[in-house]
Amino acid sequence: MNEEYKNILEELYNLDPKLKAYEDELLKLLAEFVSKKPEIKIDQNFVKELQQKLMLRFENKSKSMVIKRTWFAWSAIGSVSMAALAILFFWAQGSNLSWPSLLNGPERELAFGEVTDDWQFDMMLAEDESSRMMMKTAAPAMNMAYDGGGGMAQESLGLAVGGSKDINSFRENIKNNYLPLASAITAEGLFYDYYFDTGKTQACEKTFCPSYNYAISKDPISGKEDYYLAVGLNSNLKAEDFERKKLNLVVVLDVSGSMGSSFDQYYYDSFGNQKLNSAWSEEDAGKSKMKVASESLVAMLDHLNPDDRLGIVLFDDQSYLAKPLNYVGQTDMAALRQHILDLQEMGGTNMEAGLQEGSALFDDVGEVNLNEYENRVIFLTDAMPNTGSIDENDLLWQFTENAENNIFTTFIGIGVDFNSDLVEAISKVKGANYYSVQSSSQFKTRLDEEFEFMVTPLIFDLKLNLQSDNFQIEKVYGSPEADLATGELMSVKTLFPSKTEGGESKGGIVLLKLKTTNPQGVIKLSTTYQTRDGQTDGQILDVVIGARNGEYYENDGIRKAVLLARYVDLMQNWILDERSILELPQPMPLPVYRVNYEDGIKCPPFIEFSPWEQSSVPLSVNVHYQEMMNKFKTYFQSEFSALDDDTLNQDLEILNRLISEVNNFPDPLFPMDDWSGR
Amino acid sequence: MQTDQELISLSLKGDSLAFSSLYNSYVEKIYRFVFYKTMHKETAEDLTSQIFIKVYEKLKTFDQSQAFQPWLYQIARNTVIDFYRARHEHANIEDFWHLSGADEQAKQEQQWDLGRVKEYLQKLSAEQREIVLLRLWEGLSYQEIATIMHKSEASCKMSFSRALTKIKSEVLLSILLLLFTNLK
Repeated sequence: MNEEYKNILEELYNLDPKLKAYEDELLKLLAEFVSKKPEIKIDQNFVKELQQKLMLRFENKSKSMVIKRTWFAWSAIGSVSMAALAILFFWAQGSNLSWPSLLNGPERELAFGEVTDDWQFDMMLAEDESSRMMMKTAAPAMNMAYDGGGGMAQESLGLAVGGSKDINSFRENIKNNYLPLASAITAEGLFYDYYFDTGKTQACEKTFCPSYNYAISKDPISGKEDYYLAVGLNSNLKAEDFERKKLNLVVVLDVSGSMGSSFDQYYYDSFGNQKLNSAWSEEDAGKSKMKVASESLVAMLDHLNPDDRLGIVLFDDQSYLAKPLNYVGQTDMAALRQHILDLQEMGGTNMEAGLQEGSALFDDVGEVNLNEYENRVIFLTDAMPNTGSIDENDLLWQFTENAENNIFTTFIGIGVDFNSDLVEAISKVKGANYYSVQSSSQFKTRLDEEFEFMVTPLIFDLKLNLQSDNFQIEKVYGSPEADLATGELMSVKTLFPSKTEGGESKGGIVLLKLKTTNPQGVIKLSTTYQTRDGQTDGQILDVVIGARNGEYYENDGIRKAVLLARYVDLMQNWILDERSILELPQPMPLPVYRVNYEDGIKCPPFIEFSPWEQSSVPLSVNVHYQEMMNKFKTYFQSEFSALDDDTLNQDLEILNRLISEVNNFPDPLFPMDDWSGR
Repeated sequence: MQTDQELISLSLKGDSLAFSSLYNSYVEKIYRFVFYKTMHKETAEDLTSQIFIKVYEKLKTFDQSQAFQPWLYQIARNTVIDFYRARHEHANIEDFWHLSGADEQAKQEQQWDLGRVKEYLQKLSAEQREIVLLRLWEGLSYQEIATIMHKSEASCKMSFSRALTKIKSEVLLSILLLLFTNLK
């Protein structure tokens, strides 16, 4: 018996000894299989051509590996055809010289050789496959230069937590006369809109150095004293030294039907409540979300370097590999821009399919040196799923799984109709952050300022332990992990670098509201965290709180943070109460408002993540909250002038808008005479 | 003769001849592997080119404590899957065997004279078929197949065993049917 057959049969018998009874049949079967192995002949010309092509690439690689070399008739070689190089290669083979040794020469620039248009997505084929109608229109290529980082030179960098990076969804809902979801406004999103004095007094020698500041502040409604501790997020990084790592970047782009809705149409839910957004800027009027997304993506391309790798996956109700993960320097970027701008929306939304295919692209890269490369998926969608799984847990599981493999996620919401609950859940994943796009030019500006930071998580799993006989943490503001606060522990999943201006750091603060019965004594604060290279670090510090009377702010940073945290609490409480009034049974019992003169601005309950979409509700502020907001406005204005920060005006405008809002719903405390008969 | 590991080390130091030797050792095997899955000369050539370009680009990420051949086949397999995905042939991204009616396929099958082997292969799942072909036509070990397919060695063995048992049962059944028909 053939030795190979014998081995195969032995292996089979080990698995199933009964098969031995059929040895003759199995032998015949094996012989039949092997004898029918097709004879496939490879074209030798192809073999040679591919070999030449590879050697050319090999040569280019040598060039990029050795930047400084002596010049050796390079200008002549640079213009030589592939055939001539091939001759040179075979001569090298014959003379037993290695390719790089031939090319040891003078100083050369880093080069990637010829670029290719590696776009694979065929819209017409997709149309045939899914019998969908779409029209292909060309748009002029955008060519926007990167301005180099928005004037951050010479400044130290700060740190800011990951997660939600704005409260645009909250503000846009109000501007468009809709009652936002309570989760649309978060302290971390709001904090990232502001710069804070972090109270750093000592030179910072590490990637992360916390600083602590204390405040006693009277609740503007109840007048009771509240106690706060601010954690300043400082870093030793200097803006001029900051250089992001090379990127393995996979963009997963939603091309589903909902992306075809116009930016000047307001879509909130699946109940047909679509209204025109009259407040929208003319710049994006009439543009589809698809258009804004593709323009934003093209703007992002300007921030990539030749030694970054870029891959693109599209998804509707299935996924499409549009561009394999290849070096930017080897990609025809002009052609790529045009392909992206040519994209049109189609079909349903299956985010999981898109993410699965996008994540699979990293398989081809294999293990990367994390000191050299950053792996990131940028996921652009308007997140209105209508096919496949609508359980965000599946998507979250995939994000988390990716993060375990050092592939982090930036989630970019296109349009105001983004489900901020889901976004919050996604943002709790290690290394993840979330941005919303309201207009392509606004997003381009944001990229110019922040792209490098967006893709560079610096600190993971920051934990702060507070030990004190007299103080406990009541609530954490400015971290998406705030609900994990257990009285002693604060947890922050990720810290990203952030811009600083005039010594103040963008979003550079986390605020702790403290519970105490005796507001003095020692607070022992210990931090632990992981750096990018997996090292655990931390520090322990004692903060001594002396006995004080009346209001006290250790610096303006904590004062601003307290103001904004209260604003968030007031807004969340109002939304929760306003929505609960809608659900009250008839006849309505008297509600107990969460914000009142006795309790002041209480911490709202943990905002649960709700199902995907909720019914849109017209904007309404009941009489009680109009009064509370008026009271709060006085406090806001006084803090505004004390802090001298004009950017606070954006939220003062929101307050004014809400105070002037017509009360659309009956307030049980103020019954209306709604008799319309004559 | 130098081992794969030695050739890789030399390639990473810039020795183009070493890389060329690696290429020469495997180009035909990889082409054949791709051809089985696509049945189309130009496509197989195109994918083979892509595979070796990927190998060249990723060689520095290759874990030299592992065997080279399964890593190479892994890249080849992923490239073929990507090819079918890009063409939206999701139902059969593993190989062409369920794609029927293609002229090229019919022509190739005729040339190959696969006989009953074609029927056997079509009765198997895509995964079983791939394991059987890699084992019997490509002569790869179960360990190598397991690495390529991201499965355990035991599960590959089991899959192979089930495939042969399934074919064997079909063969015995056909013989019985034949005997029964003759008896009648």
